[in-house]
Amino acid sequence: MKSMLRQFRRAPGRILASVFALALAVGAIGVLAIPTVSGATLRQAAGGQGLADIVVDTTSLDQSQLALINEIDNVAVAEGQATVAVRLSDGFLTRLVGLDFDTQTMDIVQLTDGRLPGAVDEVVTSKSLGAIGDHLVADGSSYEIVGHGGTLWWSDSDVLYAQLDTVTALTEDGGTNRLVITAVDDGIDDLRAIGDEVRLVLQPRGDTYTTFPTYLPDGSTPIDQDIEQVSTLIGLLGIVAGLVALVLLASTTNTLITERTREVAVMRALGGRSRPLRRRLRRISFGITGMALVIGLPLGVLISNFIARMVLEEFVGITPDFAIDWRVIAGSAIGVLLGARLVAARAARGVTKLPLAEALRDREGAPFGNRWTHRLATRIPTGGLFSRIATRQSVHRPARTLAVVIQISAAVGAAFLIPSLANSVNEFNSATHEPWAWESTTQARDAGLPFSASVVAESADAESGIYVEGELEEWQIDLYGLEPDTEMFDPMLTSGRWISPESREAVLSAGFAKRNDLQVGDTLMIELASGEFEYHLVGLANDFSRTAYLDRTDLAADLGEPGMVNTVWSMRDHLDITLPAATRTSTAADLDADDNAGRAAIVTIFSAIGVIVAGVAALAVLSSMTVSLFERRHELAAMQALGASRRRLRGLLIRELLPLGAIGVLGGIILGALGTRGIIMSFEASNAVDIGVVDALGSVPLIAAGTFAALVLLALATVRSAARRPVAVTLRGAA
Amino acid sequence: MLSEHVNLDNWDMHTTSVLVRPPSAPATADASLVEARDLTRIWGKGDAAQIGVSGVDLDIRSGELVAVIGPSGSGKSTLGALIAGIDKPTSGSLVVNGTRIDRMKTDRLAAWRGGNVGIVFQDFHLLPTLTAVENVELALDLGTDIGRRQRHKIALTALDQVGLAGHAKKLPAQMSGGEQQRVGIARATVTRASLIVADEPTGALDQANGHAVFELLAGLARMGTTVIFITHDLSLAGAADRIVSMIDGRVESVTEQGAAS
Repeated sequence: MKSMLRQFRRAPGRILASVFALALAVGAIGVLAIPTVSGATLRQAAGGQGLADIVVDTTSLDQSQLALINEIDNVAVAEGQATVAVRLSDGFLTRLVGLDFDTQTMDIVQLTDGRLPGAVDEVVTSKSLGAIGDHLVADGSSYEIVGHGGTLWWSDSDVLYAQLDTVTALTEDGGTNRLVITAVDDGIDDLRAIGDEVRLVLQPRGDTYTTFPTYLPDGSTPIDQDIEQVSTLIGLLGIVAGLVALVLLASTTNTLITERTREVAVMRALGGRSRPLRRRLRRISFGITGMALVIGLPLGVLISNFIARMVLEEFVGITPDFAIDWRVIAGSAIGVLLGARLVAARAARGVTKLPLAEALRDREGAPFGNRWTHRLATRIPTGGLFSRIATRQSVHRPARTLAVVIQISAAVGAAFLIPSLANSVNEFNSATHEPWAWESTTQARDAGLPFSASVVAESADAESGIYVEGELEEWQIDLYGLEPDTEMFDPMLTSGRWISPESREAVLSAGFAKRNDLQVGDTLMIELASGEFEYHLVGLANDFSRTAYLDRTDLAADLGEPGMVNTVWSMRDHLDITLPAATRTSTAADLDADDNAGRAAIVTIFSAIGVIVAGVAALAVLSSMTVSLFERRHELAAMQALGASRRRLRGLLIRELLPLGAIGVLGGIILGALGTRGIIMSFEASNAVDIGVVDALGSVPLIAAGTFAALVLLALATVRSAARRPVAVTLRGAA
Repeated sequence: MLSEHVNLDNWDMHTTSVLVRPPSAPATADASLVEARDLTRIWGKGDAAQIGVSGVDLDIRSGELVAVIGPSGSGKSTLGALIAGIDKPTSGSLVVNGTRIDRMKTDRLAAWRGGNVGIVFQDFHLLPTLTAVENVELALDLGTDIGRRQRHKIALTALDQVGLAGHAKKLPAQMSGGEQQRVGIARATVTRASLIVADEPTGALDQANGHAVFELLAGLARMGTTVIFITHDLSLAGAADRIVSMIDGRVESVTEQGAAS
């Protein structure tokens, strides 16, 4: 401890800069804990609320059907719930969710205050819909808010939880229309087998699924995949920050050890053995690393919890508890300590193996002129004296030069990656909306196909059709049932042709087809809520999504409701007809805005990490410059003694930094472009869609200007700090 | 032997055609080039205060070779640093070459140094990444307005005058201590500053190299440059015009010795 304090007093500025940069980097590595932190919250929520393994909307079921489902092999519990879309008096379209509060084992409402409904006109809802004691009027009926709370499943929307009887009274045939099941074995194949069995149980009475079932195998939650993907990508940026920190640690450790060359040589001359001396030298590095870990590990825990909170609040609407991932903490501590050990061992070996006579002579580390690169640099004309000093300094300390370039590259790479990602996602969103010729879409809020296809017969600028989810090649896809001569969609075919009426043909997104090796002429087995059906692939559409366009008549028949639809598209921003069901109308602009909000959230999260990476890199450059300044303090003081003003010294440092900055910017742009491609490719692979990369080339001048401005400021600050000490005092220190 | 290579006969910078700037002050006998009054330099405060020099009154005439002697810690290097303008006094006044430098701002002082004073350090303080000729050129770059080509010629001449014409392209690491110090002297004199402050310039050299370096400085004094020579070597000090003896930060005595050898 005493020895560490002595080291600290010897070079407090350098050590502090290194410690903080390394601590920030260790903190940034902490983002790898986000999946665990998020997962812990989700698992806790899922455990506490009894999240189902299978969730599916159905036609109206009675108790006898539920009893039969409960007897299916591997079913632990099957429960009926009821949901209906309702519109509040202020126009807000929401949902009444009916639960059997006395016997339910799944989707248990977590109250934050108040109590559960005890009467048919009581509801629990979120605080945003009203205070306890307020009354809400939904579709003409009044409900009193008796509690605030919610469930994980409905966490992203403000719904009203009521007694089961309250809602079944509003459903067709007065039965439950939502089935939730937990399984004994919850592997995906086990769950699918149950799903198929349930279909068979429902068939005899003409009942069916009205939505595609959601399977949550192996204890997963509905948003696991989203969170893991976002977290993993954020984690990659954390690793970049960690690598920058290791470069910084290497350069600082190297300097702190190398500058003790003469001191160690004296100890060797007095009989000190190399091994204990090396151990002493390594302690310097461990000391810095230790201090950085003390600050960095709690910082990492805070960062991971902060980002997990952002992610969960944005995507799930729940606020997670504080959680710690000990594996990430242990991993980052071991990784950084190991890195410090390796770097320190190498530097210490170099110092203790130097011939003693040479080491005793050494004052400023390795002299300039001993290597061929030094001699070559003196022969290459590189402008005036100051430019020559600048160039040769960079050649003199190649490790430092490389470290600074890497650090600048990392900062620039992070700065370029963020807008490039935003641009790419932006462009992707636009591309996915490209086929839309309609201005508004009006969709039934309840499952099933509630109105007739002829509902729009009176309207000249509207078309009816079907929008449902299905599954193809084990991917969830969007299914559009359209009139073959639709004017609402421009399919932008890249090959093949458009669908013909009632011919069981399909047009599929080109990127999705390519990733699943599907070609025009292939037969597609599309799984719908009602079962699996065969279509012929006749064309590919350039729509950047996972979509199949089918004939409306074919799809309605497959869904078990011939001639019925659930969606109306219009060329106007509103619908001029009244539909016989609860519906929600969204304009293309609304959907754009939704997409933009989602994108803004992702970009905000990435930006936060980008700022951390850029901050680590900037601190690292600052630390490297501090070390460099320390090494060259006598040289700079000698120049001052010869009459160099601060302006000339600033000029010298700027001459040194700007070429490194230029290389760093170039390297960073390449790094950022590669990083963007890596992330986009990861998204493409995990979503089986084309996304495409749009580099934010427009940001390059800004990034370059920002980098150069930062380097100039760094030079200003460095010279200011150097000039504070009287020249004579600095020069005397060299003697 | 180093002295064999040193061409003192050619040490006439006034006749060197490449030099364009005249000396900054006339070398008039008896005119004070340095006037120090109650000069004090203290580091730190209170109990931790460390006295460098205290209440020094000293006049040094133009063209004098002054040796400053004293035991370690007596304040001779501090006095040299103050007169050279690389340190600032805590109190007192200091006029050098007609300019009061004790209250000058950092950058003005740097500009003043570049044109008025040449400094020779015990540890040479050559820039390790510059060759011998470039190190000499650097002083011209910082202290004069001479163009690049002209600078190079002058620097080569200055190196020739210290016997290092053949070492112009060598880096400091490729030269001996004596050679490096001669580059340091060439660097200090190349601007034709009226004052040279040499802080133990022979301290890191063997006797032969030390004497050769002293001869170079004494030669400069003979040609009208004021040289303040800080040394422990009493035999070298004996050759100076005056000896300033210091102890505990104060001037103990000033001894006139007549003409330098």
